[in-house]
Amino acid sequence: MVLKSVRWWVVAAALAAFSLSAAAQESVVTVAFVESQPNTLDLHAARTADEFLVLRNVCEGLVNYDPVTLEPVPALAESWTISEDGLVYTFNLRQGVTFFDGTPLTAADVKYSLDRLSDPAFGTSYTAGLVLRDVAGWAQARPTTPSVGEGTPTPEPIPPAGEISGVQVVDDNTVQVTLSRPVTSFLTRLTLPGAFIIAQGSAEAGFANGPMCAGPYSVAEFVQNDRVVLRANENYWGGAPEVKTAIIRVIPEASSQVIEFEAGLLDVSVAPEADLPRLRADAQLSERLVTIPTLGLYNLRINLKDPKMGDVRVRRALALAVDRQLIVDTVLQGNGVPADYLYPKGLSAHTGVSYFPRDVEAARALLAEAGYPNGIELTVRTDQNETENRVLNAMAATVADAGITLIVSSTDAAVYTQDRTACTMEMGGIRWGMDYPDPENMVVLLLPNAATRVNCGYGEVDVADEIAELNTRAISMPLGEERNAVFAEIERIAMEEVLILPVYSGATTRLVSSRLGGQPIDANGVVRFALIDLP
Amino acid sequence: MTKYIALRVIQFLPTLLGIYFLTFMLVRVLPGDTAVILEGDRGDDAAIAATRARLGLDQPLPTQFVIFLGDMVQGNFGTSFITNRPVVDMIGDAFWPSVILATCAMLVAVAVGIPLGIVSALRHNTLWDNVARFIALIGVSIPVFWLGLQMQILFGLQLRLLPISGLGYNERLILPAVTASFGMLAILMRITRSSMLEVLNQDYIRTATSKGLNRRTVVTRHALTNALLPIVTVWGTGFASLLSGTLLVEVIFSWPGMGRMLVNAISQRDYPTVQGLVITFALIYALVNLVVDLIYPLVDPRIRYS
Repeated sequence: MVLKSVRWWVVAAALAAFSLSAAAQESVVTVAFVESQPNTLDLHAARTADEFLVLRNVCEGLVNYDPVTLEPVPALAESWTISEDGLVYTFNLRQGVTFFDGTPLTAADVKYSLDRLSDPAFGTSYTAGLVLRDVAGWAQARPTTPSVGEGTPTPEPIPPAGEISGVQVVDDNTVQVTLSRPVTSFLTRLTLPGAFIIAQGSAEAGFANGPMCAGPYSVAEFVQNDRVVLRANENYWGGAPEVKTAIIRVIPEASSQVIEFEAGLLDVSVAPEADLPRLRADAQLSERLVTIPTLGLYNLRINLKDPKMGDVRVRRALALAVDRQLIVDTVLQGNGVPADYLYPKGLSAHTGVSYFPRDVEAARALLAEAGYPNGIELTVRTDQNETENRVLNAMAATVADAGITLIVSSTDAAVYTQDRTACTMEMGGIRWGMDYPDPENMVVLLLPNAATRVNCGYGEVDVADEIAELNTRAISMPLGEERNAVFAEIERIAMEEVLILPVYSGATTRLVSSRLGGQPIDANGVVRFALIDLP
Repeated sequence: MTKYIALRVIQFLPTLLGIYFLTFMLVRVLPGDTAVILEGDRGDDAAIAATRARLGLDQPLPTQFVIFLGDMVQGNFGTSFITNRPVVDMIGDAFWPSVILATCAMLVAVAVGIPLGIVSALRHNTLWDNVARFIALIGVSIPVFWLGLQMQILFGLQLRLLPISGLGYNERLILPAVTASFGMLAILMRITRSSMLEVLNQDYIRTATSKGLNRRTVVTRHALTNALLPIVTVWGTGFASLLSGTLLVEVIFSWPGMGRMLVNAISQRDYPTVQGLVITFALIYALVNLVVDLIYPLVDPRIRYS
């Protein structure tokens, strides 16, 4: 009896499942989160790729990046002027922009949003520092952060908590931002999710239903750990998007995403390296693979205080012994490019200079010169990221040719991060994804302004002052050849001293359904539903 | 009876406090620091210190213990370090998906495992028995991860009969529930079989058969009721472990249950969430054990609580 009713239940359920095939409705696009799930939709606390994926479809800042070139382009600000000294930015807001609830955008909303970002109680994301650290009043808003500028700042009247004095409302449609020093990348940094604009006072309602923004989509539904449903904003200033409903599902297991894609239930899926050979061999699926280079650099942070790694000859020997091409071809399945420089391809500051072409003989000679004629044993630490472990193991195999025994030691991410911060290691792997496309965001890897680098001796090397001085100069120069030349000089010094050991710049490969036209994934690797054309 | 239940609840309170203390200490003994994880490679010492202060991790351990104990007594388990939401809300989100999946898996396991065990015992050492035992062997030894993916490929991709993954209290439940049921099904089948075999050799079964009762009555009224006690015990622990999350099933089928939540919380060193979940699991185990103990007198009238 029991068995019989179970059988009936299965049949009934299977019949019901047929109705699912109709799920691929025309104006609905379904994708999956890349890492796991968004922890919060509060833009001032958001810090992960999954959170940014939602926010970049829902919100906008004064400026946004161009989906192809990544250059800053007007968004909620229609235009702006920059004072001659590069310190005062005056933004003219776009007319007729409304938030999801219909209230018009005013300068007060901009002030409110950036004030909240500056508030240590709310602006807990690292983007707060990236967006606001060069805005006047940051040091007062965040008194614990030592000011990076030279000299002690002149005492200013202490503003009320949760306010940043450098952002001022001029009139309803004009906002003025005063910087504490001229930085060219300020506009680029305003494209970060932390700088997005929400309606004044809207944060008090919480972010369970997403932020109150003015972007192309609003959050219709946020089911924790399951999905986020976005609904097209018909009043979007850039025109109503073609995709009316966007569903972003939480599918933590990459293989399940691929199966869902093959079944036609996902329009965009990740394509894990392990599945790539199979997907490339498939006549239909191989057509659906899209590869987008990521602006970033997988590199090894080196403990410059370590007796072995403190010797530049050992560092250079290791850098010369790595077969980067082999790693990219085998472990990464071509998902990336070998990198033996600082600025990844795609940045205008990319020089094209190859600093460490593989040279096993030179590596041996350097080791002998450093006092290790019979080879050397080194240890590299990493977390449990699968790709990274395979990369490092392949690296260990290739450097063995030069007499280097490279031991790969992997631990739980929390332990690894802690040890790396304290720098109790010879070297450790870093997956550095650029926060914004400016070479200064690569130079930070050389500056001793984070605990991880202070403890690794980055402030104590001979060239530290020179790099800091060049960097201070470069960041206030106007974009162009001259600025790039200064950054190129920093790269030359850093690579000469092998302050970090670059390995490769990655790429993300996705499966993208043939029904999605337009540009579903922007140059930053983010799915942008508003850029999708449907046939 | 009421007195017995009240006594059990009172007895459980010190256990709960002990579990709380152990979890509190264990997560803090683990190397790794939430503030460092949050700030990663971008924050300086000051930023890390500020985050630590914001999370209350700069307080001395006894103070932290009292703060979290206060949160627990108020029933909200504090605020998650990672999501900034009250832990009780997060557990609330994951609780029902876990409970419903566990209940369905348990129902499948009982509906298949126990009849299979009975058949196996009755047809002792026949082909039926061997087939049933083979199923049980596969059930305990097959990796859930592999099984889940195969089910997705077969029923979701090739036959297109069932949804592949995601939350839903409808046909979406079938694949995860069946996958999760396999382990418990196998154990239930084995314990039913051995328990039935033992009972079937008893004198009173021979007596019942020889006084002319039909086979069906002998098996259901006399054999099964007497064989049920160990089955109920195994059922209780199996159900409790299903309730506290079936991590792999939750990951493969994108099911937002408590198992996945616990693993995420541990890897991110989200102390309040880990503490809240462990306490919830302790409560679930206590409750299921209490239910099992209350079922015993129904199964065996010789057991009585006063």
